[in-house]
Amino acid sequence: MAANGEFPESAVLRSVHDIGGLDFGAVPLADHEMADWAKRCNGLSFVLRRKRLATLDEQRRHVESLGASYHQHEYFERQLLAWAQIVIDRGLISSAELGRMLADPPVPLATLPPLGRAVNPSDAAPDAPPTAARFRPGDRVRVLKAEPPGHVRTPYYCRGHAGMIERVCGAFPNPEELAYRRPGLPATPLYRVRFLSRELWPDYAENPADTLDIEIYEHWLEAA
Amino acid sequence: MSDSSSAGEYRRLQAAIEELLILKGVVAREEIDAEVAAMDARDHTRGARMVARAWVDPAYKARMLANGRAAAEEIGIAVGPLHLIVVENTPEVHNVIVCTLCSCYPRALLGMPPDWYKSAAYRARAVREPRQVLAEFGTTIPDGVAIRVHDSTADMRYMVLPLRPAGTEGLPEVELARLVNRDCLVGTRLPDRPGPGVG
Repeated sequence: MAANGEFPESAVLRSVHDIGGLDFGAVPLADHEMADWAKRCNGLSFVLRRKRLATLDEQRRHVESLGASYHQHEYFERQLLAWAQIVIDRGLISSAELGRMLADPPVPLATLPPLGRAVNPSDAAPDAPPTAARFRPGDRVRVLKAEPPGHVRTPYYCRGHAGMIERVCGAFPNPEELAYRRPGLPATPLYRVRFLSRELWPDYAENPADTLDIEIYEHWLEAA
Repeated sequence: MSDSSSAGEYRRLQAAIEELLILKGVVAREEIDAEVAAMDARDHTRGARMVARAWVDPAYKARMLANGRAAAEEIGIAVGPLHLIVVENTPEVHNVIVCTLCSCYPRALLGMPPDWYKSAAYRARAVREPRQVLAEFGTTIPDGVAIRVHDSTADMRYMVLPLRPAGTEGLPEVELARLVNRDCLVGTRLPDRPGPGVG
């Protein structure tokens, strides 16, 4: 996929994946059958996550770490490159082992270094009660205008904008912690916040009644 | 596909990771096979069944809007721990789903997202000029109808409940479900119109 989007120069910390509101040209409508390796990569990610050997947010963090090459890869190529990092980062396999496996000519399996034991970091101990929700449906809130480095799930385009709590979704482990293999507990309240599209985009040219709903974790919100 | 191509490189990398994890006893090949088969078996027709039921049964629709997962399970569709929010199109509001940060999609219900859903163009533009984007799908939303974009970037997943097409009165539920195409569950298209032979 070609990278036509240009990032505003002021937003030096805006991650390469956070593209809401940029211009990447026409939507490519052609659909392709998934490659076998992509299906297996996807299946493997489900298995590893179910065994609590990795989290979806680790996958996202590694995808986002691809930097400038992000837009040169297709979706499942990015995912596979992320999982290659995760299994090493988690100590499930070593980089050296992977190197031998991929060597050209191939190195016989018998010469692999002694296989390490699989580790189970047993992440989340979901005992801590979730934090009580500060906001209620209908409350006016503003999204923090901040640029923290690291894995966050709050897109740039809504930062600094005011909206209304549409509903409380419940409490969920903080993805900003999950991405770094910490449990993200106690669970943090998650809200759907509704914005007027014309307030998000100064040049919004469509219906002035159009809205945008997005999930925001409580620590990104202040009363407005 | 030749092994010197980049597709071959991805294939080799995937196979190497899988092989090593199996050798170490971290995963079993059958576990991956089972996930692949389960995903292959999911597609938009599962969501279409829910939509068709909601079109004919107002009480079911109310339950679906209150709790998407429970409504799926009620008609025998297993979705695991999916947090599903169903958003209803009305004559006043048309809903569109996007994930600007990656490509969050209700895979446990609908299977894998279409390629366009994962494209940078869709992800970047759907939040800013939804009508322009929908026009590229051949979909026109009247000016008097508000568009509500849902940026699906956290723990919820979304499906659109489209408006029931005109001229489908009296159609049985199973035929209504056939009108529910994949893209109308994301909001980029409308349901199909019944063919001349139908109804």
